[in-house]
Order: sequence, then structure tokens, then C-alpha cells
Amino acid sequence: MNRIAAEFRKEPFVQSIDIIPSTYLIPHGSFNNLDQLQTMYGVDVIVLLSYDQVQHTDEGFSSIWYWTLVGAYVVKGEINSTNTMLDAVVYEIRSRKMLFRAPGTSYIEAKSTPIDLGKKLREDSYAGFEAAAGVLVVNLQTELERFKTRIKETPEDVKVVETEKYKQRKARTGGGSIGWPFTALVIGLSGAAVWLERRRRG
Amino acid sequence: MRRTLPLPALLLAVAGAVVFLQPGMNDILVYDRAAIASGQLWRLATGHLVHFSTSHVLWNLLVLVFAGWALKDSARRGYGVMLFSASVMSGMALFLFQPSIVRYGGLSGLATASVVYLCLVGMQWNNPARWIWAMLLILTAVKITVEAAVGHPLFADPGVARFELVPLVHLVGGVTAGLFWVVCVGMSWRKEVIFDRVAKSPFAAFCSSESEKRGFRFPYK
Repeated sequence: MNRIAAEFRKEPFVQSIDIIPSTYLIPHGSFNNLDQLQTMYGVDVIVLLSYDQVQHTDEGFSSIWYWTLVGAYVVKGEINSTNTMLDAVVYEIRSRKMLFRAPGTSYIEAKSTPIDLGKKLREDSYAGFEAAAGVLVVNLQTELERFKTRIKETPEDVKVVETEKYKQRKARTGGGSIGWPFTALVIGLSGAAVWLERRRRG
Repeated sequence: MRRTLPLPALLLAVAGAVVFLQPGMNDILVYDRAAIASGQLWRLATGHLVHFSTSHVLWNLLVLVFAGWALKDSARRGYGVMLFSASVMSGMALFLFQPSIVRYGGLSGLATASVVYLCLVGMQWNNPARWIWAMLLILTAVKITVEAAVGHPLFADPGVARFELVPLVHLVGGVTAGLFWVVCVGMSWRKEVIFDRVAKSPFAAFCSSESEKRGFRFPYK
């Protein structure tokens, strides 16, 4: 969630992003629950993030070596598959409108020995969430761009208001900077080249 | 191969240092999008003289001065024109392609242009140092390409100045220096070819034989 939040904090129309734990959400709470969150956190827009993950383990043909006992320690006969899905839905709370939604999915297949099956499944689970979050960020950005186009094309549906804070954030100051590592590189390599040229001339 | 600090780099470095020490000058020199749109076109070039922090001015000036010093005296013809072109081109690129940047300052685009030009000129000479120049050029090109791809400069840290780093100026500075070098090489090659053709032409042979008959020496051989 922090990774997804960091991607969108740099947008000029985002003033701040608060991560609200799911303990504040009541099952079947609907918009009344979201209204409470709006009052508590002062948020205009909420992203509801849901996830699901399913893991399966099957034995491959090589699991026949488990009969030797040693095989259970060294032969990777367990075939694990991990399916992960993240889903983000963006709502404007006041108007009760869904702005856009985006999914992020991943599928990981890996093999393991029966001895380290639990550890490998945990690793696959983390890797599955990481991969799905990466896909979700990309899809969210795509959907955001589509949403921007949509509100330009249908201005009668959505009224865009530019606040003073937004204007200040949008007005950016830029600078061209080199940094010390590149300075050191230029001085080091140029100095060496000049020294070589001088030495060659004698 | 004599090396002194070239006048354009020296002038730029002094101007950059003076503007940094006299912050009052920032307002009339800085790249200001609204002011440029209202006709103050000098800001496209002078914006590069403005810096927003000590580290910002220090590294930019150091690279500019060192690259200028390392450039051979014999290869400095047009160096000032190249720097001026790079400053105007990067200012125009900012204005056209990054409308969200309303203020801009920094000599890094010109420093990058100097480094690229220095490397290209250094590679023309047949000596072992050309490989070092080639390596520096490749590293600079990789840096510029990666910066353009990821959208923010590598290595640089804006520090406490809180300004956004703009890789576009490095790209434009490097490309301008490359184009300038290609034009210079093309011109000198053309000059050589023309002289060569004239020297080998029947007219030159006739002039040479006639002048030798009359006791003159043909000026070009």
C-alpha cells in the first residue's frame, strides 16, 4: 500500500494520501461508513483496496523419489502455484461516484521439496503480492489517464475546480544539476586523458 | 598542446558566481515562463546563470570550468557559439516541452554540452587518450539516456533548495554539442576536399607549370 501511495503522492492534484487500516471499515458499512471516514480523515476520494490469493500444491512425477526418504529432502517434487489478485476502486465520497477501478494480478509457479514446502509457499505469497502490486500501479496510472481524458471529453458530467493549493503545487521550479559523482567522473577521466596526452608529447 | 581556461567558460563561471552571490539579480535573469511569454526572451539564455543552492552552483561550475580547461586551445574555435546555442536550445526546449516548469535555473545543461564536446574533440586525435574520451562520452550518453527514460537526473540531489530536477536540459545540451561538432567536422572536411580537388585539378597543374616557367612559386602545394 505504501508503494502504491508513493506512486501517486507526486501528482499535483494529490494533496496528501492517508493509509486507513481495514479495521475502520465495517462489513456492509456502505457509504455511511465512508462518510464517517471522510469526517475523521478529511478525505475527498477513497481508494478501496481488496485482495485475494489462492495457493495450490500438486505432486509431480519426480515425487516418486520421496520413497527413498532422502529424496524428500533433495528432490523438488512439489509443484506450487500462487494466484494473486489486487483490486483498487476509486470513489468520490461526496458524490457517491466511482471514478475508476483497476486490477493487479500475478501468477507464480515454483517447485519445492516437501520439507521446505511451507517456507516456499510463504515466499511465493510475498512475491505474488509484490508482482500484483507492480501491475496494479501500472493499471491504476493507465486508468487515471483514461479518467483524465474522459472528464475532458464530458465536462458536463464532472466539474473540475482548481484550488489555490493545487495551482501552487502545479507551478514547479526546475533546476539543472550535475551532482558530485558525475563531477568526480568528469574530473577523473578528463584529468587522466590530459595527463596521457601530455606524457605522449614528452 | 597548450591549455588555458577559455574565455566563454570563464565568463559563464564568473557570471554564475556573481549572480549566485547577488540574489537580487535572480529576478531579472531567471527562466520565468510567464515573463518569457510576455516578451522577455533573454531569460531563455540567462536562466542558466541562476542557481538555487550552494551545491547546485558548485558542481555545475566545477564541471564547466574543468571541461573548458581540458579542451585544447586549438579546438576552441566556436566553443562560445556552441555554449550559446546550447543555452538557447535548452531554454526553448523547456518552454516548448515542459510547460509545467514555471521557473528554472542551472548551468548543468551547458556543463553537459561542454563535456560532450570535449569528448568528441578529444576522440579526433590519434593517441591513447582517445579511449578515455570515448569512455567518458559513453558514460555521459548512458547517463543522459537513463535520465531521459526515468524522468529524473541520476546522481544529482537538489538538497534543501526544493526544486525539481530537469533531465531535459542535459539531453538538449548533449545533443546540441554533438550536432555542433558534426557541423564543425563536416565544414573542415569539406574545406579539405575542396582544397584537395583544386590542388589536383588541371587548372592548378597549368598554373603551377606556368608559374614555375616564369620563376614564381605556386602558393598551394
